[in-house]
Parts: sequence; structure tokens; C-alpha cells
Amino acid sequence: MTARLRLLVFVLLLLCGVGRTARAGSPWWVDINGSGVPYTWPGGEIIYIMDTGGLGPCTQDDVVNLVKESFSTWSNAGLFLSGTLGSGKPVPTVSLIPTYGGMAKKKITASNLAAYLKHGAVIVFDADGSLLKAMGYPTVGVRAITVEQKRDPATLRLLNGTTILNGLHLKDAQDCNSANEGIGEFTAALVHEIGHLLNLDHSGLNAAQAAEIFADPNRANEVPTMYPIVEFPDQKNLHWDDVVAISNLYPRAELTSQFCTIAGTIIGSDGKGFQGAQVITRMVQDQMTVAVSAITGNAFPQDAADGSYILRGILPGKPYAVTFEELTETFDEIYSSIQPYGDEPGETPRRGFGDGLITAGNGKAKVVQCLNPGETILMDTVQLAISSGAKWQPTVALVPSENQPVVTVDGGKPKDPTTTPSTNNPSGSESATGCSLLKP
Amino acid sequence: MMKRMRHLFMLWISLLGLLSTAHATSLRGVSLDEMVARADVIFIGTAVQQTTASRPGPLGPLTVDQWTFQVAEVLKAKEAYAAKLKAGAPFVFAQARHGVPYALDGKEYCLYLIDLGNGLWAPVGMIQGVFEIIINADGTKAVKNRLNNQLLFRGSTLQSASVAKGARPSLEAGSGAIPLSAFKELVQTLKDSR
Repeated sequence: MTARLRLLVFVLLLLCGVGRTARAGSPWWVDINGSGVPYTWPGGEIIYIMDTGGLGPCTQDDVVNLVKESFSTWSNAGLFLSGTLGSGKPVPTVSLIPTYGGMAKKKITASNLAAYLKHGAVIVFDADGSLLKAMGYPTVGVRAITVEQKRDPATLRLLNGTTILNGLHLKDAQDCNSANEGIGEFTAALVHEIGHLLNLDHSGLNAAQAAEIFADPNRANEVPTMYPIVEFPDQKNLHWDDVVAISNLYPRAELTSQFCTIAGTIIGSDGKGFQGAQVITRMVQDQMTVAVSAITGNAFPQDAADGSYILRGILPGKPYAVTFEELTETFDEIYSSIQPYGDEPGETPRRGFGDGLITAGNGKAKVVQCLNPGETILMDTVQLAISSGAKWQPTVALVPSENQPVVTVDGGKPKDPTTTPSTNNPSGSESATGCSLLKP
Repeated sequence: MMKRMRHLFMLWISLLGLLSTAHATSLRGVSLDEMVARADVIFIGTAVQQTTASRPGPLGPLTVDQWTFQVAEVLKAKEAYAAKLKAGAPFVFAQARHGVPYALDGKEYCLYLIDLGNGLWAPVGMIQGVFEIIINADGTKAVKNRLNNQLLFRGSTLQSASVAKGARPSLEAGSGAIPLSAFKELVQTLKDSR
């Protein structure tokens, strides 16, 4: 190889981002070259401009304030050492600088939207739903959409994005008080869409319990803001899972210095990393709200055979259980999917591998706990009964085998992980480190 | 060397080409009451043909699928569509690619569609307005959408005692597949109540 060619390859590798080691929990867009690095706004600085006019009963100033507050919800996010969101002073874990870039010069419509895309993030007020219709969306049942339009693969930077808010959902609202019906849900949808603008994917946390949760408004705090359905006004308040996800993308040092991390790998029957399994860790005392989710191999393109997961934001001194599960059908469509599978028509998340508990310490610990901030707990490797290459499994139940994990978290609240049977851990090669193992 | 450089360059260009526009949404749960009221057409049928085309959209080209469904039963057709939508005949409609929760898979679906007025149609509430018809082991049929019918059984009409008996367990559970016969009764009840 000549010197010039070597130099060219070196430059290409640099541009591809090879060699970066950062990982993220729930990114929407990741490096297609397989470095595991997600796209982000450079330096965490996102400049957004807004459409002119109001929406429903909300004046232009009202909407501008709602948008600003919604950006602040993400940039001011933090985790609570008390273990309860909103209790005490949060530890800031996010480094994000949203900047309001002013109003559009003209009302944004289907005919001039493209001209505004050079401005970074654009928030469009689709008062009559005409823009959504032009893009093929129904105005019934769709609160808002976000379109990531342009990204720079060389630097892995987001260049622009567009959020379109469906004003028809506000037509019956009496006023613009966020405590009122309609406005609260609208605000929650706004926070959700800004999450997408910041490159967050959907969250599948607590999806298995969604039917019960949606029937009980008192359980609104159990639904992540990034769940694809926004039903409760309280979804404008970030779930623990949301805070960890945004912190993964735009981290402050406190995320890893004051909290612990749980990590591990799921492999297929062929021994290769299995992508597309949802892994959840739940604090035993508060399993629905102090919980963090990740999709194995989510930071990598399809077929990368990366089955790793990293769950950050773990409270020191608190016991946690770790489980894996299949994503529900809610995530089968492009607009409600979680990467890496589901972003093409007819492509569904991986299924047919069941649910199970993930142990540590060669199967000895069903619950884990870190002692000191900054520690990482390594979970046992789980081997599934289906191949890592078995893409887009049909939605059928796999015939259980003796080795198939049997612990489930479906239906109702998750069972007490300390009373559930252990799972299959054929490799069992990883031991728990930097942690105490409870109830072996 | 120039050839190898060209290959590298082409590889780089092809990687750039993989970058595409994608959408993500936040959905609102739509009740069956609202779904029946807002749909322009409701029918049961099987997809028999799909062709794909591109048309201009506000953010660049929009991929659109033209679907032909063989209609088995019409549950609702607003007056403007009554002549086009008939049991036993094909029904053709265009839909943006990002809203297609069905395929040429031989399965029967019950679709709740809205005419967007620009040559495009869309299911009410996206995935919520598309019900797959499942054949149970005993040969009976049931329906559910991809939310497993979550958030569907709300609304004053559905809470009344007059709803179909077969639908009652799912209504009380708040989700889950319901028998097709009960589902059709519910739709009729809701239509009659308006």
C-alpha cells in the first residue's frame, strides 16, 4: 500500500468515527459504520427556530414559552440520589444548550418548509393539520411528528430536524393553561418530539404493562415521555429512563461518577451477539419508575452482531433486578419503532426468544447492587435459543425448552425478582464486579 | 492505485446514500367511538396488489404505495365513497409508506381509513386504525390492532350495557383481541348511536 493510499484510508477511518468508544442507551440515529457512536448536536448546542402564529387557544407567545420550557425539561434533567424523581435536588447529568433562534419570517407551510431546514431545528405549528396531511399523516390520533432530515456522517453531527405539531388536537381546549385537558397532553407530546430532535429513540419500558397503566391515570408516572403513545399530561415530566437516555447522548461527568452502571451481553444460539432484545433494570423497591431500558446492539447497524447493553443511572446501595424481553407489536411500525429493527416497512423487532431474568456471578445473584458510585456491574451473558442472525422473526411463540429462560414480566407489575426462578446462563463467563450480590 | 481510490470513494458515496429521512411520532389513543365517527370508510378485505411510486412532499420525495384490497365486507362508507367501496369488488387507495401496517400476506384486515383530500389515505390514528383478523384454533375469528386494542374501549357508548356480549371481557380488561362478530356489532351500535 502506498503512503498516499494509507493516508486516504486513515482519513476515511477518522471520518467514519472508528475508534470512538462512547455508547448510548436509546439513540435514534447511530453511525452506520458500526463505531457505536450516536449522532448528536455538536457540543450539545441546538439552535431552534419557531413558526409564527398560535395553536388553538394558545397565542404565539404561549406556544413559544411552551417550546422553551420543553427544551429546558431536557437540558435541566438530572437524577435523584433519593431514588425518587422530583424528591430533593437532582444531580445534573445532562450537558445540553438549547438556544432559541427566533421566529420564522413567514408562516411555515407545505410549500416553504424546505427553505427553513438550514436553520437547525424547526418547530412548525400546523394549526389546521394541512402539513401533516401533505406528508400522508392522519390528523386524528397523531399529536406530532419529527423528521430528522440531514446528518453529517463524517462528524456524526445532526444538522437539522423538523417537528410538526398538530394544532387540531387543541381546537377544543378552553385556554392555554397546561393544567387543562388537551394542553397538558400537547405539552407532553412537545417534550416527546424534542426528545426525537435531540436524537432519542422511542422507549419500550413498561410496554408489557401498558394496558393496565393506561387504564389508571394514577400510574402516569410509570410511562416514559419517549413511549410512542402520549396519553397522560404527566408524561411531560421525564421518567428515570428518559433522563438516563438523554444523559447517555449528552453526558455530564456526574452520570458515571455519582451513579453506577450495569452492563452485559446477550448472544444467540450461534454464539454471536444478539441485537434487538430489550433489557430492563428495575430498582427493587420502585420497579416501575426507577427503571432503565436499553435495546441490545441499539447503537450499531443491523447485523453488526453486537448484543451488548449498558444501563446507566444506577443508584449506589440499592438493589436492582435485570430482565430481558421482546418488544411488543406497538413498536412494529416505522414511526413507532425502536432501532435497530423496525425502520423499514414490514420489518418487525426481533421476537421468538421469550423473556427472562439476567443473573450475575455465574447465576448466583438474581439481584445486584453496587456499593460505590462509579462502579460497573457485569451481568452474566445470556444465550438465547434462537440465532443472532434470525432476523424479523414471525410473531409466534417459541417452543420452550428446558434451557429457555422462564421468568417473565408480562401482565401486571413485574414479579418480585427475588422470588423468580433463575435463567439459563450457559456461558456464565462474566462475574459481577464492583458490586455486592444479594440473595444468591 | 487510482482504481482502488475510486473504489474507496464509491464506497464512501454509497454509505452516504444509506442516510435517509425518517419520521417518529407521538400518538394519541383513539377510542372505537371516535374511530367509527372519524373514518370515511371501514371495510374488511385482503390486500391483493401493491405498487410503489414517489411524489413530491414538503420535505422532499414522498414514497407512496398504491394498494388494491379485495373487499369482503363494508362496515361503513360515507356517501362520497359508497359507489367505490363495495363488497366483492376491489378498492384502490394510495397511502404514504410510513403508515403501512399490512402487507400482501393473504391475511384479512379491517381498515378504518380517512381520505386526506390530496390523493392520499391514512388509517385513523395510524396503527390504531388497522385491525388484523386472527383465526383462532376453533376456526372463529378475532380482531386486534398493533396496540392489542389498548385505549380502544373507552367512550360513553362502549360503556353502555347494550354492547355485544362477546366484547365484554376485552372491554373490561381494557385491551386484547375480541371476536370479529362482537367487533362488528360494536361498530354497528356505534354507527346507530350517531
